[in-house]
Amino acid sequence: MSTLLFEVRLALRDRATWVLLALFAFALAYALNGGAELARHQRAIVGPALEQSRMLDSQVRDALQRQTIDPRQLARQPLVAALPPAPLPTLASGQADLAPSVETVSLWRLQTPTDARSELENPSRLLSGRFDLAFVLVWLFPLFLLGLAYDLLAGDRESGTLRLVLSRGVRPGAWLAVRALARGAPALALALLATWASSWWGDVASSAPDSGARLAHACVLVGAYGLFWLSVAALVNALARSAAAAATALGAAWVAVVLVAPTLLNIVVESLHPMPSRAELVASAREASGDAERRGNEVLNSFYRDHPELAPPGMQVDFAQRILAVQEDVARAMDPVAERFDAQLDAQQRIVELWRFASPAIAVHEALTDLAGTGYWRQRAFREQLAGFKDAVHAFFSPRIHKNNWLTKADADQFPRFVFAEEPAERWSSRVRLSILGVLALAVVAALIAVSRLSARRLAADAR
Amino acid sequence: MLEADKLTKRFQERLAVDALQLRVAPGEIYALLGPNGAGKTTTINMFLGFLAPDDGEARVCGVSVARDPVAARRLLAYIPEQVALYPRFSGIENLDYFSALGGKSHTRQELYELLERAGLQREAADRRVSGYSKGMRQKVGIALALATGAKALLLDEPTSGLDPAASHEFSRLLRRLASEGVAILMATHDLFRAREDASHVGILLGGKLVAQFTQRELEGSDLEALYLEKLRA
Repeated sequence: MSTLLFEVRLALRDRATWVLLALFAFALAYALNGGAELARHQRAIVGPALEQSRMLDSQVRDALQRQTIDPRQLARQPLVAALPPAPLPTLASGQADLAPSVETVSLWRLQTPTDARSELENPSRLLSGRFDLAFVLVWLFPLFLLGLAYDLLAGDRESGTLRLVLSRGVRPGAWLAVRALARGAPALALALLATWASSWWGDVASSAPDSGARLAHACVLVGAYGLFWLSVAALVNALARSAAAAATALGAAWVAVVLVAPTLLNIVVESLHPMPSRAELVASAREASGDAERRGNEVLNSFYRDHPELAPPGMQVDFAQRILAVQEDVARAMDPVAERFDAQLDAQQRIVELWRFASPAIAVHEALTDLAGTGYWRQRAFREQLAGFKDAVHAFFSPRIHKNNWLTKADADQFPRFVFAEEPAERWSSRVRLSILGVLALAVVAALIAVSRLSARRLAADAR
Repeated sequence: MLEADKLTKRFQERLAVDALQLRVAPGEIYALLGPNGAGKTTTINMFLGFLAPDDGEARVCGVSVARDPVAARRLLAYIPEQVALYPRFSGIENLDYFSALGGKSHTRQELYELLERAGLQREAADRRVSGYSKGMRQKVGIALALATGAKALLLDEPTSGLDPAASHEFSRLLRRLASEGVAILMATHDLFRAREDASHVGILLGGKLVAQFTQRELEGSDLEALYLEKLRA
């Protein structure tokens, strides 16, 4: 029998191993259920929205085939922009419970901030974060791994078996590597099983063509993260002289990597690039809108001076042209505020991208949300495409309303419809691969330091 | 064969082992006597490669321990004063595990036979070692020496704490191993067992080998008196 199997058998003989594995399995199953529940909740919102969008589009096209339509009348219909369900929503809830995935776009309210009434969440839940699979894998998985592997060597030092082991002519580095793998293997297997299960648990995963590739990347990422923590356990055991000292040092390492480093990075990000207040955004929008409405006629005249090609025949204007001109004015006033929001958000994300390897926990969490399709990048793509859709809605209706042109059969093909374009697989995979390589590099560094500290002579001298 | 050639070890200014010349041929049992701190365990640690000598060389079957410690250890078996085994494994599982660490694999039947040769019955072999006595653990250690086909055996106070019957049984096993051509170096305080079992006896004082006797030279003489005389000198 190989020494790996012996080590696995030895680990499984300990009742504490079974208790830890049972707790870990329970946490994973609970997290998968929670993730599936959120995904189902969001499907229930997005599904009808997408259907509504399809129906409206089809009705408009049919109607335009038969008759001409006043654009003012059609502009009253709210258009729907929906972010399709994430490829692996059960893997990580990410920003899914914070950022809206459905927006109704109306020509008359293009400048209104996000309408997320349909996705209201319990605020205390948002504050505490979700107990999702990413949380268990990033925060709790290391704790369970360390619980299983905290005394890779220290226990043998104390019991005296280490001298007998070393007298057998083993190479300490290779022996410790086998033992670390054997101790970590059951928890690692559960973590990988849960990662794989996120592709079918609750039957909520999408049938996106790159779902398989995303799942494969997630498994490699989780494996690399597990190896990182096992390397840290090996390093601490190579240095610590007792199991108690090793456990204390590993607990401190967990706190530093999983709790302190992400918090510090958050503080740095918030200090360097603070987000403008949302209240400020809303207040600015109201102020700009009120001001433009007060100057209604002046705004309209100014608009037609700037856009004489849109002036209606005989300058016959009604409320619709006036609203559009006011909107344009509000947009001009609001653009810098909105850009400041986006610029700060992008700057924050750039810092996170740059410093994510300060803690593998950050790198792995970012990569898991990226793979799940609930992370920053997919949300940003949705926001950008949504802004483009609003522009398209404005570009479609505005000239026709200003010039009092009714919509005809020829306009049917140009009627705007929101279809979310997913990011090409090469982009997310290059980001995730970098995270995997970074975490693996940290694991290798920790393992090399551990091996450099391991010699039979040094170990035997430390052993009783 | 075990050879120490001018083997020397210092701990700071203190000379723990001083130019030790020693040779244990196959089939010989060499008992190394001496008070605490005489350098017995340091000598064994240098044969195991756990300590680097400051001068001289330790060799196992011609393999220099300093140059190739892993190869040297693979020729050795080591039984410390307390044979520490994995308490959650049975005797046979411990034997299987430690054999595998040394690159040897055996069938279950072979492992039972090895343990029986070492004096451990099949019923005990299947029990977890957490319930083993010291003597039973020593037997697993002997079985390990048999399982790995060790050419040399190092023992550090092997009979300390054993009851007379267990000690007698252990000696019988040692003599049997020696008769199979294993070179045995035993650090001990047990003058009786040294007198009974050893083919050679050496007295180590302050790291220096102050006297050596063959079994024939000891015939008719009192080892205890000789030992105390050397200590007083």
